[in-house]
Amino acid sequence: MTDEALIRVRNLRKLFPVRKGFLSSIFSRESLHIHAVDNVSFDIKQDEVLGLVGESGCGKTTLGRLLIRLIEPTSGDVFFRDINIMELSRSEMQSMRPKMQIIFQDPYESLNPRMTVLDLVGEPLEINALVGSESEKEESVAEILEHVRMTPPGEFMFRYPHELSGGQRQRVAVARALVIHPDFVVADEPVSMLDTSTRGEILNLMIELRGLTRSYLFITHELAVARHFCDRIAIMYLGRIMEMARSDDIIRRPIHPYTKALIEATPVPDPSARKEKVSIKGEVLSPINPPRRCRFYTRCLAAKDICSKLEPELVDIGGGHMVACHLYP
Amino acid sequence: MTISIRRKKFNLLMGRARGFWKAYKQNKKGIFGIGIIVFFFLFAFVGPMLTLNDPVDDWDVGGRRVPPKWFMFLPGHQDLVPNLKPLKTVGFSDNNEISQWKIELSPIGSYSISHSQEGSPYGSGMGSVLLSLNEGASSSSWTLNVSKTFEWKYDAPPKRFRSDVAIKAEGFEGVEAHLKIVLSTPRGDQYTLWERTIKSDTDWFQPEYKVDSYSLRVKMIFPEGVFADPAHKIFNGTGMYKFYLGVCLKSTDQGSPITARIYIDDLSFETMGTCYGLLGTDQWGRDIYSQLAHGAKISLAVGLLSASISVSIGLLVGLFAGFMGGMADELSMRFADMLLIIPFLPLLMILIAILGQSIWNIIIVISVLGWMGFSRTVRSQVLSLKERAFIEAARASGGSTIHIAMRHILPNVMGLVYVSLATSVPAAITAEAALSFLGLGDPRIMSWGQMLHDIVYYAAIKELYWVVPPGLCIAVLALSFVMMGFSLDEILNPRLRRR
Repeated sequence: MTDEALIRVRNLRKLFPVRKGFLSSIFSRESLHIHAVDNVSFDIKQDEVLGLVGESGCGKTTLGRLLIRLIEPTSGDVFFRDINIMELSRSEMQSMRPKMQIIFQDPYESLNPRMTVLDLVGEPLEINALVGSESEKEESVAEILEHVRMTPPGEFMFRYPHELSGGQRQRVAVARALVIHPDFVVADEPVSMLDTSTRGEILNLMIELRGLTRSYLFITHELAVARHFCDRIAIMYLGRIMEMARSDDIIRRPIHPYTKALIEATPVPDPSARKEKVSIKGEVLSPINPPRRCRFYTRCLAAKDICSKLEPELVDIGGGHMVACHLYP
Repeated sequence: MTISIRRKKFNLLMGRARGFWKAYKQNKKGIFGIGIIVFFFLFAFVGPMLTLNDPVDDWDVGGRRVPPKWFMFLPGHQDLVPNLKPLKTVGFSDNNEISQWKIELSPIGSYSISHSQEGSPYGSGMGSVLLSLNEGASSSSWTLNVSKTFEWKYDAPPKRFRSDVAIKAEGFEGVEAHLKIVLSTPRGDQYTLWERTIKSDTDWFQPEYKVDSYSLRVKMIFPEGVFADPAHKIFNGTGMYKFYLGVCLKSTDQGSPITARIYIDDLSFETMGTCYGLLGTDQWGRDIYSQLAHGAKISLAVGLLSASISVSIGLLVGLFAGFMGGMADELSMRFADMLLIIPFLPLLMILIAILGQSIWNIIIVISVLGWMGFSRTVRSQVLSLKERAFIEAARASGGSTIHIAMRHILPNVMGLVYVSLATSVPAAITAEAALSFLGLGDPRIMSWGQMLHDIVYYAAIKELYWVVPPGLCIAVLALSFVMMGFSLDEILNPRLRRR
């Protein structure tokens, strides 16, 4: 791992407009937006796996898609090496695509049911003209299928997604993302739809295949999985990054109250283990037009006055450990 | 490696085709539909070859508005009479054709009969028969009969008979000729259907009226006049009938040498019966079977062409609207709505009335008015496909809009295309039939709808041999396509599949 940043994210925002009824759109001029990703900045280094952890609806997936510009941001920049991909034209962006890939959450959805494994995995090669002929394509596909342990490849190449198990499908999805050797891969909860036994296989596979790519953004809602796989972990809450540090640091020495609550909420497979006091209250706020204050204010047991008035910035508190909380300046 | 892979790909394709056929075979509706469609295709290709009659231009191939020949075997129809053509071919192109006729002369030896290369401009044959009076014939009058004797073995009279001739006279100086067409019965009655006297040279001429039992001049031979039916009057019993052309030459100027020559061509006689062919004839004596067979071709062509064009338009508009979204979507869908709310048939009628009644206009108008429903279906399918993760995955791999539309969206809507094709064909067939039925069809083309139009126009609704074939064909062909469409829908749309 080098210190050079592969991806630099700066003040990235994504607001989704809320649809209103016809009458209310006439009578009220106030516009409502879901703040899915709100002013997020971070770096991903070369050869690094950054874990993005947060609860459902906190904007993890949106952030992942923004990073490879599958959706357009409201504002902010993403630099890939030194190129600001948000300023690229459509065709320039298309030529950037093979350097950045995504593995989707649901392998039942992300594979076209009418294409064979050969066509599915070979598609990125074809689109980006990385193979000259059909036989070259078949060779490349066979090679990557061996990498993802779908052997013998000849047996799987001519199957349709519905003829594969969930784990096999996700292997195909992984093979598809890695076949063009991208520099950066967004893995959007790649194991959350799989059952526990397959999950381990796929995770181990991804760790083995780290040689085929440089950096990952690994999105998950499970801290344990993130710790297993990632070099650094960023904790996200309602569109903001609350804490970001090396995996061990964040698990051993969580600073933000939300991180602490998350770690406490992780189930321990030991029935005799004593359940600790819950250090969180209330429900998740609505992400529609949130007030300018700490996002976690309403649920924080340690909230102070200032938390309701000012939004804390993400600051380095030493050793690359960053946190956005007024309690830890 | 490549060869084995190619074989695997081929096997894969064959496997899919076989799997589809296996699923299709299970479906009784589908088998019924495809069987009937295959039958109509064969009928459209082979049917017209089995008849020489043109469905539109060949009038009076038999009696007008007569039932089919096989009606003879039905009770109460035993008195039906088929067409009778005593002469195999008409004209005097060669000696074979001349030898069909019996030529009698008196006094014998005063004439010479020869085959002339000159033919009448009316008939088809190149030659004619030339009668020339021998120089210095001693008599002052000569007669000549060109006759054909035939047997009438039916109790009932024919529907109609007709005959024709073309004559040219040369060298008429001091001589006059009396020409007549006569039909004589076994009872000895002679009916002169036409007669004329010529006193000088003439070019080729034909009788000044049609020598036809429907002709007023022929009817006037009988005391009933206009109300007479000559066919009925003349053919009132079995026996040997004789048709002949009689020529009587008389010398008017004794002493001068006589050199009269008479050319005869296109002499014909035929009777048209009270039954004809497989399905009878229409109001102008045209073969209904040939109309039905040619109509099958027209209906299939109109149905398949219009359906393919309209489904293609619908597919393109639907893909465009669903994929582009926004203003393009709004505009194209509002345009489709606008076309949808205008009642279909009146719009069709007005457009055809403006554009003109041709079969191509009908095909174009039907397809241009038939795409809206399908485009909405495609659009909705595209809208839902567009949100699927595999589209996003293709986009993430750098796929262009065209690539995504062709490789991901299109294959996923092809199922809809097949189903919609199968269900738009009957719509197009019935639309064409409706237009033709209303009198807006192509008058030069006999389609099933045109047949129904003629039936109603000529008040033949009770003549089942005429009404049933086109009506049944339209209904059955449309039904078979609908059945095929439904079974395709069941196979390609798994939610409808019964287990």
